[in-house]
Amino acid sequence: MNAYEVLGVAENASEQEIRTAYLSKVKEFPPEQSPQEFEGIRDAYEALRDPRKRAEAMLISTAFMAPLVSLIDSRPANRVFAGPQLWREVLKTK
Amino acid sequence: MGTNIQSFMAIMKVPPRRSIASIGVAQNNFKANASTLAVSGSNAGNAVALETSIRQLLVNGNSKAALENAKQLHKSEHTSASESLLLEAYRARIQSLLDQNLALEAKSLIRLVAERFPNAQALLNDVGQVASARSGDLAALLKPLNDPELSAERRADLERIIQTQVSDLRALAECAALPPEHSLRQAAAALDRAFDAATSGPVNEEQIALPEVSHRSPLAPWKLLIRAIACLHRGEDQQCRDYLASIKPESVPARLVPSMQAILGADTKADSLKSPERVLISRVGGNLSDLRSALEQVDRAFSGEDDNQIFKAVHAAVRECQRSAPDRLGTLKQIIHVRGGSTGLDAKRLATSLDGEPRRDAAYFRMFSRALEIFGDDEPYDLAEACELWDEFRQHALREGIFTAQSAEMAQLYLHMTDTLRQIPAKLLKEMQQGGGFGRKQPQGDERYYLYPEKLFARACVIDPHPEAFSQWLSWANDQSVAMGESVAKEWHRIRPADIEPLLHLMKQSEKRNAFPSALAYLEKAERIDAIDSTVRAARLRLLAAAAIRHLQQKKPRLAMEKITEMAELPQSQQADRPGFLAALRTLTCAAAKDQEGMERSMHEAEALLGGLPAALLLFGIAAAAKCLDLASVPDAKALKPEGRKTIPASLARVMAIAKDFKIGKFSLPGSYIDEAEKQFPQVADALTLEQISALGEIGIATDHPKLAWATSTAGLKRAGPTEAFFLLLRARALPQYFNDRRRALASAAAELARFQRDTEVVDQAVEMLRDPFGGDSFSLTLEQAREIARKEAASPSFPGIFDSGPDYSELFSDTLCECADCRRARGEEPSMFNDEDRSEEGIFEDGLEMNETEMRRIFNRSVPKEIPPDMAEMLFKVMKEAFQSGEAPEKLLSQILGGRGGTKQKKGRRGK
Repeated sequence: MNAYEVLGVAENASEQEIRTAYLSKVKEFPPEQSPQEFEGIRDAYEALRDPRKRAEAMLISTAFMAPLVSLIDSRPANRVFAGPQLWREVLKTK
Repeated sequence: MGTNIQSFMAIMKVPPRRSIASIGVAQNNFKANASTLAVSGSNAGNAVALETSIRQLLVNGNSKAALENAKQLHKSEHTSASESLLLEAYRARIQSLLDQNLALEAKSLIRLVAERFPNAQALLNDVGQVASARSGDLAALLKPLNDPELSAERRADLERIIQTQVSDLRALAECAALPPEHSLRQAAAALDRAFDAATSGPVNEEQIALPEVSHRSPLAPWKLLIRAIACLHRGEDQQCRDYLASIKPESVPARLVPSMQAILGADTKADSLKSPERVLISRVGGNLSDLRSALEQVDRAFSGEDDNQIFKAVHAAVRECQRSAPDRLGTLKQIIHVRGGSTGLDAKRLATSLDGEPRRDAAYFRMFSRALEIFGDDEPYDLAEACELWDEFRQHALREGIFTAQSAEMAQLYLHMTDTLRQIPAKLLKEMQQGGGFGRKQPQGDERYYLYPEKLFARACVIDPHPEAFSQWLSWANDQSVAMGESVAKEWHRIRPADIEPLLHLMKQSEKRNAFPSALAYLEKAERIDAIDSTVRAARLRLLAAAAIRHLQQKKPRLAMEKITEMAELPQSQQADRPGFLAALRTLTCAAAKDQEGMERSMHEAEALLGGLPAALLLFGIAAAAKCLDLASVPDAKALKPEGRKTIPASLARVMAIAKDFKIGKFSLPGSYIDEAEKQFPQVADALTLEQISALGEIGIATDHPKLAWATSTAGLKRAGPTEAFFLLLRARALPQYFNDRRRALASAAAELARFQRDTEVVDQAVEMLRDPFGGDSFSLTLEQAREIARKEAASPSFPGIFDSGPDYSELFSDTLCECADCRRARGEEPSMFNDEDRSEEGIFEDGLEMNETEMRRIFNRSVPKEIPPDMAEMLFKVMKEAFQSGEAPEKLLSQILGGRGGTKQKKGRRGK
């Protein structure tokens, strides 16, 4: 997971957005309760808070070379509102 | 199936519903029976048998064959019993059609039976209602509900049919057979709206409260289903499971339970699900397994050689992504296009496979530029093209608001582009700058800025004048030329006048060309910024000393004396041996000015401060640096008394430390004293400090006295402690080059220990040594291995020779195979560079020593360049062997044979005398 994914922000997130995401994550994983997660969050924030480091991380990123399944690895299995028709098709079956 | 129908079946003796598989078997039975019927149909006695056969077919669930036979029987018998059996067969056939979800066909058959057998109308009522319910024609089913006289039992039966058979809520809500205000229509309408809402988007509690549907309503299970769907989408999985568990299993909504449980993660066998259920699970549940395997297929295809496979896999993956993860489609197409582009796939075919070109945005150009940087590291034109694409990225990033034109991110982009350009050979870059673009456009004017590091640096530093950016610019400029370096340092100083680095650079450059007034002027500026900076503090004394020596060289003792006076006023000049240095410098200056009295006074002072011999050696060294050796002389070391000779190592070490402190260039020491130090060192080593030992080691290396350096390294290693890494490195430097494996082991151990001791200077030097083109491949050691090497070396004091190559570290070079004939033969390989014809010469040599030729070959093989042809190498080996037999030292011999590679490397200006 890269720093952006750890904090759950987009690659073009502003400094304020990064800070807000960091504070929110720290609330979720306080150091006294989740020291390991907190460490990762802190590292991610350190990497992204400095615009120069942030830019360099973005420029040298090789995430696109990872196996393509990584595109959906981080994608939550969110349920899709598919409309009533597909549901009705199942209801018709017996 | 409702209780009503079951009881009806029991009355009619209709066999229970059978599975499809059972029907298949029954059909086979029917074929046999039909054949029997054809033979014996006209026989009255056989009518009983046929009736029995029909009943058996009904029991077996083969309603179709039973009906055909019943029709034949009734046609031939035409009795009330045969009609009853025929109706029974019709009833079973209708039920079978309903079971197969063929409600319309069932209804047609009911209509036909009712026409032909009006008396059977009542008999077919229930199946007729079920058929109507299933086909969406609910009027017949619901009409009886308007009858106020309808018995409770009959109402309950109808409600059960509604609950278990009606799947079309809208049809129920709009059914004209009931008045619009009828509670069933109202409930169905509310449920239909809520169902549409819950399956199409997030819903609130109010939307799914459904007060119109009471818990006693036949439609109550729908209410539970809708709430379950809402919970499913909210991620309230446990609540969803609870609702699903409450749904009556025979009700219509229960048909969705298996699918929803699968979405919730229940272990469901795929083949137990019907096609609509699988589609629903995949679409609603976000099941990405198909996409996952499609993407894996693309990765596999890209690692293969078959372009067609790639296009096919890409096409399938894009389609699947479109279906199951459309939010990822844009990025997927971009990545595949970039990969395809950087691996030279046919662009048109790729675009077709991708179902169109990818989006050309900042992300796309970033990936493409980066891919060219990675895959084009040995292709300069790709690197230049990467910079052109970075410019495209810049323009899109600005448009997309990823960063602004004057941001630190933009400056970082420019610096990144310079990094890429720096990988292109300077000459080629120059040609590129003078040539055109890279196929896509012919830029004009400053448009091609991305090919000019100086323009990129300038842009970066103007946007974000950060010290790190200037530092990178200065480093690059200094590599181009001294003048360019100074120009950048001046620009840095102009933009960031409070930074000390550009001033120190300008000072050092001035110092290098002996422009001491300029150097001192820059130093003064630096002192005003940060007078306590260690470099600044050390610089003034060093610059004044260098200036004084320069004046001495120019025969300007008066100016030299001015500098000495200035130095004397500095508080730091009173520390350690610095007063002694000042006294020695003053002695020479007085001698140059022919001030005899001053010279003698200063000389006495120097001797008093440093001791007689160190003062004399220091005078010699300074005079050598100032090119006025006529003013200072020392007697030959051999002329000293034995007691005096014993002090030589300590004296040299002290003088060397002073020269190092003042960074005196071209400082030399008399050769006879170093030779003598080499002899005396073993006797006095125990009395010397580690600093003195290391200073002597450096003298040994600098003056090409490897045995002195070797001896000091042994002494240093014996004392262990934090200087182990330094002494291991010193030992590696002292070792003749042809002991390549041992050199590599020592340098690697030094690097590892230095890393542990955080001695970055030694780490850098060791790494640099391992990078030496003649130093072999680098390899890493564990800390324990490094310590073991240090222990072994401390226990091996003798300088290595052809008969004593020291500890064997071959086990550390597991990847390096011995090339000697014996080892090659043991591995089943042909003797390569050397054949074994000369093995007859192995044995006693003229000097009476038994020489191990294999060992000699091993050393030679390791030292000889691989590119030398085997016959030439064999000839060289013979020359070496003959020379050895004639009594030449093997080290010199190898050095002579292998030239610069085999002998001790000497660096310009490092020789002490």
